[in-house]
Amino acid sequence: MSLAVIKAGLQTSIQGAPFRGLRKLAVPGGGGADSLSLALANRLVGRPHDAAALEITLGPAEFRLDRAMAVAVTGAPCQVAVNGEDVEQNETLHLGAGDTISIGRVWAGCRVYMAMSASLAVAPVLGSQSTLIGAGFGGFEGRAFADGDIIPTEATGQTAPKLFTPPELQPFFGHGFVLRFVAAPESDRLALGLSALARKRWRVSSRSSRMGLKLQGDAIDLNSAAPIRSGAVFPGIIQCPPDGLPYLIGCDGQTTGGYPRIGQVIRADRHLIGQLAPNATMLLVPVQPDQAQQIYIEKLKLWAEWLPGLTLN
Amino acid sequence: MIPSASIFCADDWLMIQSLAPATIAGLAEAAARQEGWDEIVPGLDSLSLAWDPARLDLDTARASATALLTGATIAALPVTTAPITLHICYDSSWAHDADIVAELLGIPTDALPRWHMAQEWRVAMLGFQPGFAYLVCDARIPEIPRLADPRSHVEAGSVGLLGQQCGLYPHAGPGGWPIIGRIAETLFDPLAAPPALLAAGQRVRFERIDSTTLASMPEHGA
Repeated sequence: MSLAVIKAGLQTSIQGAPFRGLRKLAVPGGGGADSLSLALANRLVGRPHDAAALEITLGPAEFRLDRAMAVAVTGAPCQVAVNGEDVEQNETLHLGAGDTISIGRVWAGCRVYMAMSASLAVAPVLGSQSTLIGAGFGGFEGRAFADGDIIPTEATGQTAPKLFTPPELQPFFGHGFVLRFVAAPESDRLALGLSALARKRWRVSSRSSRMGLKLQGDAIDLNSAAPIRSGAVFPGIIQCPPDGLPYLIGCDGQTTGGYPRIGQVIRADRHLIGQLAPNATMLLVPVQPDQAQQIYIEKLKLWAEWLPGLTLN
Repeated sequence: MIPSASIFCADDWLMIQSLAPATIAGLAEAAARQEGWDEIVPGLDSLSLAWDPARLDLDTARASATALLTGATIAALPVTTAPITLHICYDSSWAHDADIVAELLGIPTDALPRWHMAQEWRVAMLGFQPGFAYLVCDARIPEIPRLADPRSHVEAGSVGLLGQQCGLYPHAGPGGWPIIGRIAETLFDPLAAPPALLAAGQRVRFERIDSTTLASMPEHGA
């Protein structure tokens, strides 16, 4: 039982649950870069929120199934077709053996998630089926898909009833993002305070990946650009390298760093980092850590009925 | 109470900063015995603790970290990882930058291996890439700069010196650390338990081997 990769596209990989508790070994969390869209896809095919699925970057991509199963496509908006006929995102699709499904280039956002009722048959590594591409392990052979790959799937796919994500629970992705952030350990080095990050429109550069995103805009002034004693960094951390242009750490980013940490996108908004494509713009809005925790809890409540027990990485 | 430490708090992690390096591994072990931490990450002079904000609120997290500090004395924090001996080849075929490192240390190049083996190295933290170890010692080391022109390929097991640290590369890849040798051991294997050979706080000794011995080690596929 398998999934044939007809067109792999820019970067398609298996992503699901993050690696947990391994940052002390310098293993980043990884997993679905947009863990909310991943959970929404899995919901439509009756799988756990963080079950391994396909994460497709920017598109296009195309796959063929060798058996009937339920499939759902969520995340960045794009054209989806089965055997050349347009179908909807955000609803359960019942595909037959030999059917092909194609994912078009995204219209906005960055990453599309395709979940299947049949599990992907790749061995978990360090407790997860997710792919850590930089380190070359996990997922399918520790790498992104290439044209012609045959990805094994389990034979025992459950039947899934036809569902669609309630429209009010479908995240909307445009080209502009608003992300909330809190202070980080070296924010006191910002010559203009947190407003140095907040009162600007940042543009995502082409130097962007699951590891991190280089931002373009006016260079930031620090009182001191001296490197720090290397310490922990986490996804969402905004570092200020010597050129003054912020670097936003992604889910596969390094676990420690030596550049000043000048801010951090809050937990509640970090899944949106996975939808930032080159040329997307973003506004950063400062909040306090206790507000950030409330925002996270409120956000989980919004999806609680549809996605009970959801956590966002 | 550990003096001079302070706590920085974000929304789902905190950092105990300005720690004496020798206290960090013991504090990390003490934190592992507490409830609620999803990640415990040693830094060179800090310890960071992360949690799920849906399960733990900010005040409780901060109180746990404070309890960790107030409950701790340096002597009361033993580190339980056993010392390890790594087998290193200092031959010039692996020690690409021995000349510049020896010059910065003010010793002849052929004295560098003896100097390196004589230090009491300790794993300060893992970072940069899975299993990459930062080792520190008590000797005063002049600031060793990054290579002006980083290498596009460094062998797995390469041993570098940078700043005041000794770094061990687990994987082949690009690298900017001046390299003084190569070890025989595999530092990171995602299929092994535990996946990383080294852990923060662990003592490390280096024992010299020649290039024939290095080549005969299974990891090096001779």
